[in-house]
Amino acid sequence: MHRSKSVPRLDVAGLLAHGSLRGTTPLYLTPSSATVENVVLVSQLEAIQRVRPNTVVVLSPAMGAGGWLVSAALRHSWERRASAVVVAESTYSNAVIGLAERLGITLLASDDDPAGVALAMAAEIGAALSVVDAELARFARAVAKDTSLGDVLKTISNELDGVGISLEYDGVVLASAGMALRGESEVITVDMRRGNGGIRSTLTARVPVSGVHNLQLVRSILEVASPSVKAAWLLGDFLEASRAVPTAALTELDRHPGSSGSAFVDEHRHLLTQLGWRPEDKYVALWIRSSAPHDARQELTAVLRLLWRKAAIRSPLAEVKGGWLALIPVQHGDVVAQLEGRIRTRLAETLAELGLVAGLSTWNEDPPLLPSIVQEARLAAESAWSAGPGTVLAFANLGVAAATTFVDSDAVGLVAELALPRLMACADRDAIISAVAAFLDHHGSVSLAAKTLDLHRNTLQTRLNRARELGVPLDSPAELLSVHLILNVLRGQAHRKELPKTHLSNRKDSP
Amino acid sequence: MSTQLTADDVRHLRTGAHFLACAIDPTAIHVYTDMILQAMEHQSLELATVAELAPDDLVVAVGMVTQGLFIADMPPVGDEFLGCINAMEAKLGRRVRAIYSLAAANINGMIPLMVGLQSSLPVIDSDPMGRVFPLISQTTLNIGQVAISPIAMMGVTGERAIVEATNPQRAETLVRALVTELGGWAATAMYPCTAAQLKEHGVHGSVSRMIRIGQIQDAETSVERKYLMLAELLDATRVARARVTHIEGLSRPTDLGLPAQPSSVTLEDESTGQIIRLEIQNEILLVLVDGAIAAAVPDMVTLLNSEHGTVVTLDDVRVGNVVDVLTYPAAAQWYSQAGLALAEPKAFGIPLRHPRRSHA
Repeated sequence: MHRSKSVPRLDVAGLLAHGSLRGTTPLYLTPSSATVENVVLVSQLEAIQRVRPNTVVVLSPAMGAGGWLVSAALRHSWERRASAVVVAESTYSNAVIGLAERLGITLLASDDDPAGVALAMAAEIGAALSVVDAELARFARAVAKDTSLGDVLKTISNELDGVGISLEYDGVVLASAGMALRGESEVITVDMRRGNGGIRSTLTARVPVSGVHNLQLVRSILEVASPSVKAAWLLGDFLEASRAVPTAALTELDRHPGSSGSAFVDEHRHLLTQLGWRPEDKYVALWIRSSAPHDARQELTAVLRLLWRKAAIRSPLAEVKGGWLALIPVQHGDVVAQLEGRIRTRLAETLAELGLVAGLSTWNEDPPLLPSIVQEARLAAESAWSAGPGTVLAFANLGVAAATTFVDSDAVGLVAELALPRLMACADRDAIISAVAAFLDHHGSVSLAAKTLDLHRNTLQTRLNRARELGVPLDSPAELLSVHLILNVLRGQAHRKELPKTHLSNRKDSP
Repeated sequence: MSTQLTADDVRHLRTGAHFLACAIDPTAIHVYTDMILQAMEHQSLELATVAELAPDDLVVAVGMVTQGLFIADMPPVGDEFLGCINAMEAKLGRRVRAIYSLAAANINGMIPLMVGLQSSLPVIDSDPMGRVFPLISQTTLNIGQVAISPIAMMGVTGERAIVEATNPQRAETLVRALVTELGGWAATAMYPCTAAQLKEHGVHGSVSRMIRIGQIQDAETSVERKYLMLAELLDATRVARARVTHIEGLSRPTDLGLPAQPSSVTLEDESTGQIIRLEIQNEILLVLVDGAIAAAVPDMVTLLNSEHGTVVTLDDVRVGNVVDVLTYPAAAQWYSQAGLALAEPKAFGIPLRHPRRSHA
């Protein structure tokens, strides 16, 4: 038995052929048979104005008879998208039947008391609905057996002929099953909060606009499945959390500032072994962070874990102080590039949506010191932040440049204002800053700096002289590092001013 | 200010009286018009406004009440209405100072002119319906709780009766029964009231409006021009220009003592394909366009010949005719809650609320 199609869909043609409308005489039948979901026995015309779509309207004999009555009833029924109008058997003129045809609504006449027809039809609709209830109960039992989120979604999708089912958070698909539709689709969404006042997540079905699926039934199936989805998600999250304990522990173990990673390993060797970390294994660390402490961190952890799984990475993701951490076993260097690529293609966009960045540690031929690669990943993530949400940065591409990430730009800016007031006040400040910064970037080579900036040497030289006039101590070696730092910060600020604001505007947590 | 009516005014009045009651055979209107025109050769006829009368002046409505018998089949002798007025004066012990139409359409729109000529009483340019309704209780005076009785009646053979009943519906029943016994029609005088009461609760300018309609209808001008003038005068709308496709007699059950059998006419608008259904009993009660209400009593409906713009009498409607269906509102009093209770489709056995009621 094909389940979703077995859910009885009553229609006028079926009810006429072998159902409660069998005894009626069709005065006019629409070319396509209308769906029947309801029946009303009306004794006042006005009552028809309140019927739901797909209702069969049965006119009570108490209303009287006459073509006008049937005409008005047909009109009201048409306005309410009713399935058919049933009237007491009588002779009706072609004009009445013509109106049914004009409005495209089935008109049936009953030899028997129309109330009897309405009762029989109500029973038939009730029976059909009870079948629906039984089907829903069977489905609820089936879906309750699934323990993983993937299985739950697959069961829902199978129940609905393989339509696309997805668990979504703020528009981000966390997990899905079934076929993604190319054509037009009806989107049915059931709100599904995890816990009290949690982040809004939804269970969504995308159903082809073919009319095969009863949309109300699709909604019922999603609603029935929703507790199982929540349970499977919670269970998955719980299992992940326990798997992630060794990872989380790494950041919590006491490490004296200034002590080397090897000292830490020596100090905690026994504990590390107990946690399952083996000194001969090679890992890469990944650190995810947000700009500010997140309000619903626990919720976000659950969301991130599903996304993490979507990137097909089996290592557990731990919620740690300042972000989220995972240690991924990687035995060969070339796998690191693949991993980085996979994270970029599968996660970067979603990280941007959620206002997050990620940093990766460097891979070494030698088994790494775990605390060191954790720190590398964290520093890479901190550095990634300046490039905006969604950035995935590898420490290998950063090296000592990471240090500049931790410079307090505001403080440096203030120093510039106070120590180099003439430079800061001059009109061509930006040109001079970029000239001097390029000069220092190229280790004092005027030729290379001019080439980089696409300027003539003499122009650059003029600007450097102008900088000296404005009080920039270019000729004092002891001050050069500070000058370079200040100019870097100023250059960065000038660069950010030029950038379009949209660069940062796609963050979910930006106002 | 009172107006001296001319022979042309009377002819226009005849057209207007028929226009406002297109469902009814106009033979009697023509009979009365001829009599009035002959009488006017020797005597003038005065149309007065209710404001010209002293507030305490006694005024009465005059009109024919029929039950089955066409007036043209057994014309009155001529003294019936004078007899009714005399009986009323005797009953109330006061002189009647002016008369008004029981209904401003059809034969009852003409009769006060004849009675005015006979009695030398001024005819008031007001009435208690602003149109014609089949029941004598369906009046704006009834809405205003002006007493219908005493009702003075004189029948086909000169027999007389006075009906006294405080409940207008009960008075209706008694009058209907008496009319049957009196021979099929009766001249009546009813709703005796003061000019002040009529001024407060009546519909005014109704006779002059009929004359104005007649002037437009009788004018030598194009049909479209006439329609434009009627639209302006009556706030009328042409619902459809449609061909009659079906006529049905006894199309609805009736047990309300209404003095005519129900019938229906179905038409098809050939340009839009719309199906128009007219429900008739005495007059056109309901116009459905594709099953939706386009007009419902107390709204007024007139059928016009699409070629000539002349009134089409329902008796003359044949399958294949092309007619224009014109609808226009009745007097404002009819759209009050009390007015609709007396004259909406439900009062005629059609279980429909008037569309204006739902917005009330």
